[in-house]
Amino acid sequence: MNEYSGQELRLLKDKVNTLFNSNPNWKVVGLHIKEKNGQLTSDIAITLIVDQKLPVNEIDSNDLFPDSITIPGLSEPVKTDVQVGPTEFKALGCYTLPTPGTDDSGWAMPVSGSRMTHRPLMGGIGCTTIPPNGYGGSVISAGTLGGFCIDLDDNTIVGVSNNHVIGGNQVRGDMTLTMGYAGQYSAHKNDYHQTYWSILSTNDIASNESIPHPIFQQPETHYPVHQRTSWDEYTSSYGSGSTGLSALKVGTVKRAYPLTSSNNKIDVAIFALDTTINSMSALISTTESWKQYLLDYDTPMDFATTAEIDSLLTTASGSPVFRSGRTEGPVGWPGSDPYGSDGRPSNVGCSLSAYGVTDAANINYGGNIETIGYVEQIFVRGTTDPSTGGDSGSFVCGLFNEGNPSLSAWKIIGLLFAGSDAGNYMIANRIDNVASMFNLGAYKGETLDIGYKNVDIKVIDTRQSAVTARIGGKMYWQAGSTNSPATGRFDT
Amino acid sequence: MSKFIKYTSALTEVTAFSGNFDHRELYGRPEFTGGNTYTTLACGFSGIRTLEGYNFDSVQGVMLSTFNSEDLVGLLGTGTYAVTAVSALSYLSGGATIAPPLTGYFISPGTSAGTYTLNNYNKMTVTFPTISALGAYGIIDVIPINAAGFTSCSIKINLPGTTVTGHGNQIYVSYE
Repeated sequence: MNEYSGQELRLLKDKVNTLFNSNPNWKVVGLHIKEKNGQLTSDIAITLIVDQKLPVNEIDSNDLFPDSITIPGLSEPVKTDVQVGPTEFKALGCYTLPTPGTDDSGWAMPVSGSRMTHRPLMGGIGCTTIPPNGYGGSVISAGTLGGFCIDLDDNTIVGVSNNHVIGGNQVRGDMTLTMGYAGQYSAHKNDYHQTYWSILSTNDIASNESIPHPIFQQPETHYPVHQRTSWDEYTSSYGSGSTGLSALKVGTVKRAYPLTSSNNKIDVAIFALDTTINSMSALISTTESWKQYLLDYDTPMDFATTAEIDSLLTTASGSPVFRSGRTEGPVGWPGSDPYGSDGRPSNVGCSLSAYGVTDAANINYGGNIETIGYVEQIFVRGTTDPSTGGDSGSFVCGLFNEGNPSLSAWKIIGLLFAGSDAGNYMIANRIDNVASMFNLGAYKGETLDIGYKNVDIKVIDTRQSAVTARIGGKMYWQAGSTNSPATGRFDT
Repeated sequence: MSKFIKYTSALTEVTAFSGNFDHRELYGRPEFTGGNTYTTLACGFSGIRTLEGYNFDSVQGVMLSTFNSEDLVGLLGTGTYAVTAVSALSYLSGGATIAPPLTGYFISPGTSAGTYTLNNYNKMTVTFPTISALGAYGIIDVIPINAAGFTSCSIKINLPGTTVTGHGNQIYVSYE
């Protein structure tokens, strides 16, 4: 087995990213264990994944993957490989869900538990924001509350899911999306004619929409977060009192990391807990809220380090992986074993392992975002399909030092956001990227504040590419777009 | 102009060195300086803003009003922040009459939502109540009043809930 230092792995990751972006016909590129005659070898190789292998003479010369790659800083050329696997992936949108029923009678444990209302909150249960076609509209949806983190900006407890689950697919300011409305600064237009502009506003509707949606204009300002989901509540109604989605409100979206056309690394959004409906003590528990639903593990989990995530690539037979989500419930070791086939129509005894930890691929988001590029992703393979629509946002956990009881520990390794219809695969953002790029820390039961502290909003002239900016000495996050007059400028 | 002891000086320092006297207008009205021009609030939050100006150490009342008497939900109107029209205040010098009357809500000293703190001669902090929805203008006037009278500072509320025609500018949010 060739071994690389952390610095050498950084060079390899950068090369993978460069190769992926250099040729649109190389759809998935990553660091994998090299295969020979269908058997794993002991070498790490820069690997191209293809739908099928073709004879060399049938491949355009520009698309031939090199036999080896020389990288400045590495003493020897890096081996390459071409392997067959899925190359088409999509964000786990709600459109893959089956037709919803009208009540819970068709459910069984454990998935019924993943879809229920939980107070206090914990990871691995359903959550959503405004229904895709607005309150009272014809569409409902589902996603997963991955778990809780500490927002290191203000040291508060925040919930974590995907941007495409609760953040309205917020995109970066310089990303021009033209489908349907050429020339518009469109944030996102999905199949239901809704356009999102900012997570900080629920009532900001484009005037040129063919179908205006006053139904979005409820007495709330930020994107709300509901638990359980609108899909599982069988309604898109805002409601009042104890009925409708307003009674399920547990938070408001605080920030979403904007998507862009290439080199995305994370699909993440966080929400601040909201005590409009439930008290703080009902929402969050220092002894329960750090847990993953139905993961039989009673120690608060750390985030895996970069080196630990990288090490999954060379762990024999892959590292045991677990995740808990709204649609398929608990999946992977050890969650599968206690429940068997009871209520688990699609993933009986599914065993998961991470086989790629820095892969690059294109992900289809639908709408006018369509397909965008991701790099440095964790690829997880299951013995059956490990994820489906509604599981987006799940924390993915890995077991380290499995055979050493004194060192053995489950840690959070990633944030599930995409999968494939073609095989038993799911894709997760690396948690080290999520933490460092979004300024989050693992929540392990600390007693901390919830909600908001010092909030300040600036409107900057013109659309901007910078995800973060320092203005007046403070750090600001991009939060969508507006036609409001500019009120501040970057420090220059 | 009259001599005042600077708020940063001890009495013994003042007697030893005349430079510690502060020369300012007796009963000068509270005033805001230009640095507050671009202050904004986020709709849906209870925002804290420190406003800069002069004569804040003599302020005896602070009113929140709205541009065009707009009823910003959660701020003015009925209930906690019921609006009143004021044409006379006991502490106004010489029993002066306010004409036309000031219309708004007097907030109290404190640090919770809907209160203010006088930090010193140059600074006051207002903790704004949460405004849950906006009207056509979305502007709050902060009106500090002392014996000499009053001025106002306009606070713009971001993200009005009106139909928009384009999104040429970028929103940035800070939680530090």
